[in-house]
Amino acid sequence: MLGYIPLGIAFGVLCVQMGHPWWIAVLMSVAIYSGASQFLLLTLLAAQASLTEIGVAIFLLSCRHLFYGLSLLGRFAGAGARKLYLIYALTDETYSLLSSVPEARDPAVAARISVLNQGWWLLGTASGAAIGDLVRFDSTGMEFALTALFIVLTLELMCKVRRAAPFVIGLLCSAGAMLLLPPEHLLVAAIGGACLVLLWDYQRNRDKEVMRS
Amino acid sequence: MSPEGIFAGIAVAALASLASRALPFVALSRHRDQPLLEHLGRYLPAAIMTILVVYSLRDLRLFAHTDHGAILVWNNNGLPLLLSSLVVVLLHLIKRNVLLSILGGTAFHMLLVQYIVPGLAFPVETTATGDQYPRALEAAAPAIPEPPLALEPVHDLYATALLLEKPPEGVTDCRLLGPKAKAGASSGGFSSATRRAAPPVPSGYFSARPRLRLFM
Repeated sequence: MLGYIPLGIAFGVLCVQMGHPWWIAVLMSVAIYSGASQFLLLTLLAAQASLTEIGVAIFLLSCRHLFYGLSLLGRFAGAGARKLYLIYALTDETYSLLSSVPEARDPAVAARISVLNQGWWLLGTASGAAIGDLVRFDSTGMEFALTALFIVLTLELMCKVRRAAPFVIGLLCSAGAMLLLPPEHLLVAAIGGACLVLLWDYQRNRDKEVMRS
Repeated sequence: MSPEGIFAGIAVAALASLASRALPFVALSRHRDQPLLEHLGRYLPAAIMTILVVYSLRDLRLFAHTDHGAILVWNNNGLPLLLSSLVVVLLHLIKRNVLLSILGGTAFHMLLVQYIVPGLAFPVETTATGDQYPRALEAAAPAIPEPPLALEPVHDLYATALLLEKPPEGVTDCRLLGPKAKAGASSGGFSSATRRAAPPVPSGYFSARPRLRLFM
């Protein structure tokens, strides 16, 4: 997946421009290995967020991985020692490849795809950090890359989900949190609220189905 | 931020990221077909992504908190964010290329923030401490007015004395001038009466100069 290279470069450049040494960018790409989470971590670090907030925000952002794992449970069952690496390297891109390429049913092929993907990501991050270190330029406004990434992912989800409710719930919850709470608690409160509303939505739908049957 | 803080942040983020990937294999393998999980798996990512968009656009500062609750306001600092977001949406709807949308939108935003907006004479609210535009804010912020040049030294002494509650070092003979100043209230005689009697400090002097400079 060559898309990893430019995004990795963007992350590397941004990380270095925010004042971190180049190896912090590479360390993040090895330890965290998740594009959106790494961008968000940069923002949170710049905003001096507490460790609890970082943990909760990153976990909630990565919640989507829970459902990737669920759908691949059976697939990884016979993978043996490779299973650990496959779980660790299960990113959005890797998941979309694993679930769309039929040959990836073989754990050996899946592991090779994962290694390749992480290789691209690391290469992109390292070269981005190098570029950012060598070429000093005004990077004001570059943090918008994260916003753009979120907007694009939301649009992609809109095409997939085809139901307005979850997006409206997200919008209302975040607007409510923005109105009622100071900005530093916005993220966690809004996501918590959205979870509760979705649970209520599930309960209501199930009750309706029970009534019908 | 301290290096320890950054390492701790990375460690926590790595654990959170790993937990989200490993949890289904560790704990949820038996609940795979649970309808609730299916429901959440279908809709939760959409809600979270929408919240993240709002979160990353929070510098629009559409709401201002006042004594009467929050009100909707227009903030000029948010204009580049709004325009660049529109560019991302349009690019993505037309080309449907993730990379092009992100890079195009970011380049447009950098262009706006670095070249176009500083050129426009927007009234910048100095109260807005936007963490996204420190440089743009700084460029557009009005210069701090210099104190009047012909300032009597006694004013500086007065200000220092107010902060220190005693005469500054090296000052042996310091007399505060004023109609009520008692004769003989020299070195160390900073009673409230004499303090009030000091000549008035020019208006705007304290608010215009950073406090630390008083010691220089």
